[in-house]
Amino acid sequence: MTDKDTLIEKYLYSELSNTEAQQFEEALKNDSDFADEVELRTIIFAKAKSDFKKKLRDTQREYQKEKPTAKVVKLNPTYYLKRIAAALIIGVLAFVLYQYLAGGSPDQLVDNYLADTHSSPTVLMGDNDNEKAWQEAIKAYQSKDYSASVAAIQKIQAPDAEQQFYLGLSYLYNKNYEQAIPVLKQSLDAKNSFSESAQWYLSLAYFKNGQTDLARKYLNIIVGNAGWKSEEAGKLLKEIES
Amino acid sequence: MCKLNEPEIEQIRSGNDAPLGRLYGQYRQNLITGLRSKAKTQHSIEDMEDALQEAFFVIRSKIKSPDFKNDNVCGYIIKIAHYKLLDQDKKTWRFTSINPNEAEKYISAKERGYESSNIGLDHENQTKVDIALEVLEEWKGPCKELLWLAYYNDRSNAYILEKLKHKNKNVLKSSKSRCLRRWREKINERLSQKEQTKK
Repeated sequence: MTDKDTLIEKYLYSELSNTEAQQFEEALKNDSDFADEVELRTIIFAKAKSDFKKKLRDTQREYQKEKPTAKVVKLNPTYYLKRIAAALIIGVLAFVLYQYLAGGSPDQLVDNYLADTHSSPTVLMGDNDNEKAWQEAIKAYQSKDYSASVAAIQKIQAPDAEQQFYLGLSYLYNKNYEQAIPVLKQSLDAKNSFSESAQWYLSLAYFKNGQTDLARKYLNIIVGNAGWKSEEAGKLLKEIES
Repeated sequence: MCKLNEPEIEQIRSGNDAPLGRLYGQYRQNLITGLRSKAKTQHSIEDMEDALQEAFFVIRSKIKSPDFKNDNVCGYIIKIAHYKLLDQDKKTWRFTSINPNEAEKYISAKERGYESSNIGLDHENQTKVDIALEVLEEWKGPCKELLWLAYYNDRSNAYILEKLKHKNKNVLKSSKSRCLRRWREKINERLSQKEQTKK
């Protein structure tokens, strides 16, 4: 027999076993004090959950804003000296970076974009063969072993949209552009949540494969949509045209 | 890495939910991707977010248990969120007039200023929830503190015993029952006052 306190706790968190659910139902019917306690605890539980979710949403908004926090600066004799040295270093770095990006070829720009690899999916727990292969693929992708991630995704029977997208990315990062193009194109045409990202990587794959006209076509669409990577697409288009 | 470190676990155990906020803020997108992949079927982004927030609430409670193992927290969150997404709760929440899920949706919608007549609870239960929370908010004293610590903050009996200087677990148990009864009396008084004003 589970005690009444635990029974209510489990009920609220929806964790009653079948036997406990029967016990709970019986107590609710035959014990008015118990029924009363359930109702009151339900209300306070609902309030706690509602407030907790609000806190999560608020924190999420804070993260999205990414506001820089103001720091209190303690002045000391080396304060200005340190700031001047830092400004000089930043200036030199900015100049070098500008020379590198602005003076580089579009090919160099694409390589820079590709060096910033797309974030990996979350590792999940699972026991069947498909889930094991997916876990293997994620680990390989995280360690930048793209041949292994391709091989692992290919083991999955009927890969879903996300797995299809990461197959295209793995081909791309493995410099296998001819294989990457049809897979990424399929992700783009599927019009799912990965399509927008697939379009960007498809344009890079076309560019690296020497199909500049097609790269330009998709880059123009990205710029026109003014969505994800539109700024980078605009920059790359400018480099291609110059 | 999508994980909580040991000092953060201790913070959560002592009633500070900020580390969970940090985890949600930082990894929301990865968790949604993971959940989408696990669910296989189409769900709206709002449903997935809600399921993840539900899962964080469950994890908050689990962390407070001494048996909690801090490995693969995000995998665990996705697993719970998936369960929530499948709406498994329905089967165990059929017994009571005030469904915890619907009560939470009602409170949340009301605080956001949405139209409450469309939310799951019927009018009678909406009034009951409103009055119960109104009374609780106005209430001062040890009973309110006890109910708040035990049922709102989900603090352990050991912590409450220490904090409120109760002699032992049995005294604490009877105090909880007494305070719940007192809360009910206050709700009933307010309800009858409301009825009389109507007349």
